[in-house]
Amino acid sequence: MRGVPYIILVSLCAFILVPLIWAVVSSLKPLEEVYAFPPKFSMHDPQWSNYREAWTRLPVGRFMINSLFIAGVSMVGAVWSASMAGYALARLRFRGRRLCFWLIVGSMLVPAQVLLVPRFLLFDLLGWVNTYKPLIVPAWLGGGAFNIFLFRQFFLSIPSELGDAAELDGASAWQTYRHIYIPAARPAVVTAALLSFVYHWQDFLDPLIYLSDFMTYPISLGLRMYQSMAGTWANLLMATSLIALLPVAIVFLLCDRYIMRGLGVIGETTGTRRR
Amino acid sequence: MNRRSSGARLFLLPWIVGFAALTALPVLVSLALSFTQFKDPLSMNRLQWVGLSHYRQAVETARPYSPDRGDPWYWNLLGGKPEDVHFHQSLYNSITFSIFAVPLGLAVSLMTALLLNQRLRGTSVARTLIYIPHVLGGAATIVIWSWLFNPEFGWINEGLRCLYRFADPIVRLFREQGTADFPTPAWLYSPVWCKPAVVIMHVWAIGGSMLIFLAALHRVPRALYDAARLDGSSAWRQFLHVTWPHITPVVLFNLVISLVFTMQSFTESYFLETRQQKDGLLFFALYLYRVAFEPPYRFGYASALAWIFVLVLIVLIVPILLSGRLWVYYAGSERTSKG
Amino acid sequence: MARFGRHPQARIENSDGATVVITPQCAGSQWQRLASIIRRAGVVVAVSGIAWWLFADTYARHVPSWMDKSEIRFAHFGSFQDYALWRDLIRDFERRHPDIRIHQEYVVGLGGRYHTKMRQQILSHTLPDVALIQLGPFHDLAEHFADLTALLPSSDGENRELAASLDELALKAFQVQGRQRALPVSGGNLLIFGNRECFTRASQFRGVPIPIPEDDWNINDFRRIAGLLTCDFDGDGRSDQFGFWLPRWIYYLPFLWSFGAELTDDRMSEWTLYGTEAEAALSFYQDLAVTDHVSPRDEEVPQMFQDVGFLTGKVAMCINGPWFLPFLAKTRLADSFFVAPIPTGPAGRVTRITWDGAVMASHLPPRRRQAAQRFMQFLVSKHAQDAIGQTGRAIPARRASQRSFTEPANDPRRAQFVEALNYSRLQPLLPHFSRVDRAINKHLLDLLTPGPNSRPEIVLAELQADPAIRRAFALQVNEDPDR
Repeated sequence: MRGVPYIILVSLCAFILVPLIWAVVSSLKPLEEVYAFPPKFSMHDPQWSNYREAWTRLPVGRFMINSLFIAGVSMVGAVWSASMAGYALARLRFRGRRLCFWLIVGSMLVPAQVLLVPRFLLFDLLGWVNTYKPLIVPAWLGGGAFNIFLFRQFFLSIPSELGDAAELDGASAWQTYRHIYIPAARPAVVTAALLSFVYHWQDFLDPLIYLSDFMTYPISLGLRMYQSMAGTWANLLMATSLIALLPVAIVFLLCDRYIMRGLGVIGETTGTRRR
Repeated sequence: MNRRSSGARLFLLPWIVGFAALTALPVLVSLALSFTQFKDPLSMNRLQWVGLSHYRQAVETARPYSPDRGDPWYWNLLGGKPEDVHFHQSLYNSITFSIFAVPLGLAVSLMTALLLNQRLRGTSVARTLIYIPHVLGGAATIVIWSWLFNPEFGWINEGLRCLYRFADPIVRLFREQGTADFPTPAWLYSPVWCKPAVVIMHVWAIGGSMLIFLAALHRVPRALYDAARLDGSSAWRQFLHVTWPHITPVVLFNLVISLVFTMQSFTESYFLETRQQKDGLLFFALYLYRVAFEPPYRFGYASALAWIFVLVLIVLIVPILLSGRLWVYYAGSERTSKG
Repeated sequence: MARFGRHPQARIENSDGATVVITPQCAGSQWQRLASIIRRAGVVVAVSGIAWWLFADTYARHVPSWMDKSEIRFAHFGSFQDYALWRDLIRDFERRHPDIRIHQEYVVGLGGRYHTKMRQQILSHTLPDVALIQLGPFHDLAEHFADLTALLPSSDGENRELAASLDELALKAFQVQGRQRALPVSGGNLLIFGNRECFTRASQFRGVPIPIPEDDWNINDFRRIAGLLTCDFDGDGRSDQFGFWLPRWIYYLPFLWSFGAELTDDRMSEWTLYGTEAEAALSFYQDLAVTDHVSPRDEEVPQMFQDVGFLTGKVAMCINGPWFLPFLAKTRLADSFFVAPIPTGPAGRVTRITWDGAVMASHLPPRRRQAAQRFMQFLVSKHAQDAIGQTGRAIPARRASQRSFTEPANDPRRAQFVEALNYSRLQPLLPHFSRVDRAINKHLLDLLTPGPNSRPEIVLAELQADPAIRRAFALQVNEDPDR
């Protein structure tokens, strides 16, 4: 009986791994073998040159730099603005706090589809279409309802004595936030940073709508272009996909140990019920 | 306290600007647009008021209606063939996808979290592994999956064929017909099987909700389990009386969030549509994108569709939130911010 | 612990146990005052920099004449080889006109995406100054482009020569209500591509010689050869090599026309795809995929496009345009593919030609307009047209440059395309092309999936009743597009 959990766990991991293994295997095959029937699981003579070709046929490097820029700048903005809003909601008292909280939670439920057209019209009026601004600026203005919520929860879980002591000593709200709460909230900072980085790395619809020049594409869109341009060069497509996955995987592995603590506070949704 | 109050506004300033400009204003504009249309959409000229006609157009059905065998079953509920078939079909697709993907995804992620919470050896590796698809998600993995689901060259059908061959002699003991020649699904090339394919893809990337569950499980006080064990409770009763009450808030959270997310899925259908599906994977988000951003740019109609979608979402979510009062257990103690 | 007000700094332990030093701002000395001035100046610079970054585009969007420089954007579609071609041409142009800068915008996408994007650009007033456009979508958008009529027949010699030297049919194709809205740049017609390796493989397998098509082959030869080419080499019940790649409807037009069927009448006032000729054409389509099964159905070649299907030898023949030539030249089929004319059908031999044109945004400020005009003229100049022809991706619109398409490689396969200009015709340009396109493809699929609807006459009736197609014709008489 003790083996059962292991069996389930191992099969789950296998389920998770199969697509990734498939991608690695086919990225190393010549094109004809990808289309072989029945499919070949084994691989002799791996074609490492596929990676070089995938890299050079399209400006994949350029796509990656674009993506890094968009996701990086958005990530900084999201953490900055979401942590400030979360701090205000958790630790400051002001009129309309409950209203703000419910607006934030409510905006999580507004479907992106409703906002699609008016936002396009707005960004058009601002002359921002065909620039990175529609992709970056929103992150600096709120940083996503989920992140604000995460920070609020985390700040609530920090014993308030720490902040009280600083305030008694005359520290301003900003100083308390900057020097007491942010260092204490490192897991939340890392988690929010990771989530928003990943979100902006994968974002597909916004670049699709707002960008037109090929050289400005992020990798998510570039990958789709690969599909349409290189026909079905599945092996090169897989090589490019894996290249595109690499930065995200690295970032994730770097922050893995913080994420559990960061997300742990979500459960304490007791927040505003009795206030 | 005045000083702090003005400070709070400053802290919230970025969010307030963002909310006003990027959420509140668009919501209002979209509501207004839904009652109007551009006579000349490409230059966005000659805005005219059309009242409720967009809404009517979206829900209208052709009457009288003589049902045909090939019609989708829900046309009967509507009372006829819809004027805008694609809208109804896309909404139906999105809802069906959510109804299957959300509970299945939550069940699997909760089970996984429970397993990982058992303090077995190697769980940290497994946890990282299971979370990875969630971060990888998006375009790249969808492309990979579409290949796995390939009816001819894909590993999934090859695996099924192996399974059939393996099971064949066993089945033959009981039945005339073996399983070796069982048909394999065409997955993304079939109007029926395309949805299960996407559900499987969804379950693959449940890492996010799994981790939230796991984090919540970690916060259940160990002492409660020890006490329960002393009482001789079975594992099931421990789960029911100790674990479950503690994680209900997260269950509600995950349920609502993943429902909202799956209802809004776009990338899957944008990447995976084939004509063999006969619009079986046309999700609402994709249809809306097409109405709004492909000729003839029916921004007004698109806004009306989006609002109908909001209504549907409310109908789905509000009962869930309300039912939360019945089954979500809120811990007695909470830390409030100091006043 | 010290209180903040009285002491210059305070030490506080944060949650990590580290000691944090907080220094409140206090202007004690000259240096600190200077530092605070510098800091404030820095903030001002940063804020105005950000404001500039945020709103310079906003100003430019509403006052287009601001920043009127000889700097223009040129957008194009196509493969990555096209990208390289335009990049080189732009370099050439900039060498000749050192005062003009051109920013190349390459928009990639499946099928209609380039034009969807172009519409979004019209919508958001971000249309490139000069852009390449295909004939089909051009007609829907023509009114948004600058009128080029003045660019053509002017008194000075160069332009008159230009009008006379471009392909007449192509030039006409880009006229809307008597105004020239685009200049034709290059075009292409459809012919049959074949893979000799597949022919050899099939002859060895069957033990009968399969001839490479003659120039005067007809539709029955085509059918017979495609049948012979379809082989199940390993005997597992499924064909490993098919005769012909079943095209989407636009590429099927040559066959449709060869059977004598027509989509519309000459004035494009009504849909005319019905009657015995149309039924025969659709039956043939069905026969290819179902009855004869010489063409693979989508599920037999999943996730393969025509190019890969042809390249991997899954199909022996396909129908494609000259843009397939540079692609194949870089593969291992470079020496073993051939090009054959369209087989003659009951109504003769017809193929489809399409042209790409260059359009210019209207209402440009003067200096940009001048630069854009220069570049437009360059695109149809002998130099640029020769360069386009040499790549072999398309037939240049300038007739004198058509030799550059065939000559340098001296390739009989390229010559076939120029020869086929004699029996090439334009496809009817229906409004709202992308939706009509989707509708026709959808109904043709019924022919390939067994069911009550898979009969040509039923498909034809459904096409006639299709709302997208009905709407396209209703548009001709200016009916509201929304209803």
